Amino acid sequence: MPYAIIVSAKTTSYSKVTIRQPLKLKRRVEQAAARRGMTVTSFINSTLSRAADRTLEQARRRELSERDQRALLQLLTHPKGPNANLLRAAERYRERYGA
Amino acid sequence: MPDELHFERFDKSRHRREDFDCGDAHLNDFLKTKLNQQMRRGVTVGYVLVDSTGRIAGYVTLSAGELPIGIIPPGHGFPLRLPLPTTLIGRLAVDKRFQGRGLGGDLLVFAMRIAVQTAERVASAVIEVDALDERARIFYRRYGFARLPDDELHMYLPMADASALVERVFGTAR
Repeated sequence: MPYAIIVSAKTTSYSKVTIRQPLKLKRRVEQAAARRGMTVTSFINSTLSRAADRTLEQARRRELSERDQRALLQLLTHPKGPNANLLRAAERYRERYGA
Repeated sequence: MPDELHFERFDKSRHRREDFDCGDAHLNDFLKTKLNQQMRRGVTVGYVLVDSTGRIAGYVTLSAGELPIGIIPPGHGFPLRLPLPTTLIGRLAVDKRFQGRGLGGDLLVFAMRIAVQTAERVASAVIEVDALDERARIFYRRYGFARLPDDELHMYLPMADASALVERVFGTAR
């Protein structure tokens, strides 16, 4: 039998989620929830919530591919100096707003 | 006229943001509903280009950032593994009624000066910008920001280049 998982949204509104789960896992989850003195639903919700936070946090953290890391280091160790457009923009800035 | 405009740190009690319209709903909304709160939380600082009545012609945001680098070959003066300290220009926008006068370039130069001044005291190796669409990419490319092969959403300018610019045009990095 699949669980009906109650996933809590921001405050007190709920929606039902139905998932298929291997029987073996279902029994382990029931045991684990019992050890914590929690209902299966609240055990699943609190576990999922932590896992989701962790995943989202990892996605927020920037990661560069190895190729990008090399390109970035190359850029930093061989700066070309400001280009003509940037120099012009800075000179105009100085004329407009002063130094 | 640009010469009536000047830069200030964003202050919602003095700057009129309600009718700001740069043509991009997200950038408008950020100024109107999020910037003030993010400044209070210490996650970004916004600067505005305003006229004498406090009307906002454009804005730019700056934050400290870092990039994880794990593959540094020895002998370049970097630690072997590090989060590379960066300065992030998150958002930059000019109101439609003020577009076509080069104010975007003014905002960028202003932000770069702050970045250079700050990096004199708290190290930062590179200025990174969020370049979320083609228009932004064209804008930053014109001023020498470089793309990396895989990461399409950011562009980079070495702090050394920004320092050289400030020194050359404004006389001193500080």
